[in-house]
Amino acid sequence: MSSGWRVVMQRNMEKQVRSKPNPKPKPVEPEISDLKGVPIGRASDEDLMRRTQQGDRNAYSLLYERYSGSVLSYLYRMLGNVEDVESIGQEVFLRAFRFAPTYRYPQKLSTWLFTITRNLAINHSRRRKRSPVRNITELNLEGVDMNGDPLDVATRATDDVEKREEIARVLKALVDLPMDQKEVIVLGIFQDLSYAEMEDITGTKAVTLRSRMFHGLKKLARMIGGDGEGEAEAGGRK
Amino acid sequence: MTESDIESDAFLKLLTEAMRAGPGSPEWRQAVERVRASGASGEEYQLLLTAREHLESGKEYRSIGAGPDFTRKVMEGLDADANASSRPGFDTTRVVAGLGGMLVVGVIVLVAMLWWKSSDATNRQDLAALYFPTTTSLSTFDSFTPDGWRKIGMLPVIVKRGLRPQSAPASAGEVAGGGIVSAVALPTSVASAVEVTLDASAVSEDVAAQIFLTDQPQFSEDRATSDHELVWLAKGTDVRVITPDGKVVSPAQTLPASAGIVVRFVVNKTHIIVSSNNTTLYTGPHQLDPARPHLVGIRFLIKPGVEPVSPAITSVRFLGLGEK
Repeated sequence: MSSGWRVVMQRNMEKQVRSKPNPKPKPVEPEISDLKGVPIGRASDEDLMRRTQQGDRNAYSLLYERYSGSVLSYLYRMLGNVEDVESIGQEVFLRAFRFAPTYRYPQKLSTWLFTITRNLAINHSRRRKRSPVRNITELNLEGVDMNGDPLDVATRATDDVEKREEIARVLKALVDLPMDQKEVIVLGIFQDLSYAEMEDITGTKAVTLRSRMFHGLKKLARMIGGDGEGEAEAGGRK
Repeated sequence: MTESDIESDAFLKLLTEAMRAGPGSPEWRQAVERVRASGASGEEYQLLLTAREHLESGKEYRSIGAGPDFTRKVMEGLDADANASSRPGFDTTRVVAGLGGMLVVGVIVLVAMLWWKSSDATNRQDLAALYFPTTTSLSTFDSFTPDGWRKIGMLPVIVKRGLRPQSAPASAGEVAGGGIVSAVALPTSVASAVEVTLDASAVSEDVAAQIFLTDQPQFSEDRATSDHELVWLAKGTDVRVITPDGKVVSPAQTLPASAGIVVRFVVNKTHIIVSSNNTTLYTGPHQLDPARPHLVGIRFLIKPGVEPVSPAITSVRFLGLGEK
């Protein structure tokens, strides 16, 4: 579809959204006059989502740009399988658009979006249906070849050979942690979410999440200067 | 350690907060001090903190982004979804209306472009009135430099939640410069726009962040500058626009301490509109050679020995009038 055609269709769709009684996405706020005059690039995630609820596709495109990297990275760290990441990642952004009317302002958008992402990842794991294995060059993801190997990442992080090996061991061990401990480390450390936000996303009490963070890191700590004994233990609790 | 231990022990609460927030955070500093003060009994906690430091060093692990085809598939999916929800079946009338609308828009755009080309005197007003519906290219700087850019200058830059400068190398003179420049030139035959989004939460008087448009492909090694360029410059909180003849042509503007600031260049063969933070700073001739390719770049200039505190460039979007 040409972009000119797309623009026309988009405008037509916006008109239809305004006139139809039950369109998708539909407005849920009676008034968003406070959004007027705010440049779209400066709008908060939450305001962009409200614009999306009003049928503004540009607003959603901007949200996609802001979050595609963190959502895909989260999935890769949790699932480990890039083929699954590609298919689930697309589903996340389609569902978030489809279910935009269910978002309630001023809930933090990152919390809402990661809840969707997490649920899809869990459902996928339960089904245990793997996407077909493909060559890395066929995947529509960027950075897999560069950031997928612990030793490569560690090598870029430091020139200290001993420290490099420790970092690589810790990253390898992260993969084998029990899912609940890995999740709190991925969300809290890699995605930089607070315990309160993780509580909202996972439905687990913050104190439990703190405990998982402690015990997860304790297992990773056994990898430092280790000879692989801890590695076996971490792997054994998968 | 149980959950009730965490609830009752302020130190464990601090420690778990430090583990999450990571090195550099206030909680981290407090936790490290407490662990050090506890001597040998704190060895186990010290190992935990070291493991956390290693995770910080390896934070790029499995950091990935969407490729162009991934984005295209998502956008096509959204199109299909929106169409399915608003149009239950194939509607010939709507398709014809859409085609008619497209034709009308095409004619309007064509007439507008012809009119614009015929009158150089009205170039500025035309530029200001143009609407750019098509994103021809988008580069986001989350964790790595995307394709389509090449590095310039001696000052190293990194991509970590935005493109940022690093400290000046020891061999630097009074000022060191470095950055990136687009591999593909802006079209000079038709109008186009560039939107650079930056996070100005942290700035420093000793570091300048620049967005520039140049007609010269060669850059100096020490400062990463070219001989002929139009520059949007932020030094500390002061914003300026400088034309290729070296004149400061914009009124003073203060850079707000926030993320999501958009610097916009709207440009055609002869003229440019530069705006930042939704305020027009300069409208007029860009003075660049219309026969040469116009390249967009980002550059940082820093004095040796100072902290590289600077606005971070989070994305660059190239916009066009029509087809990709």
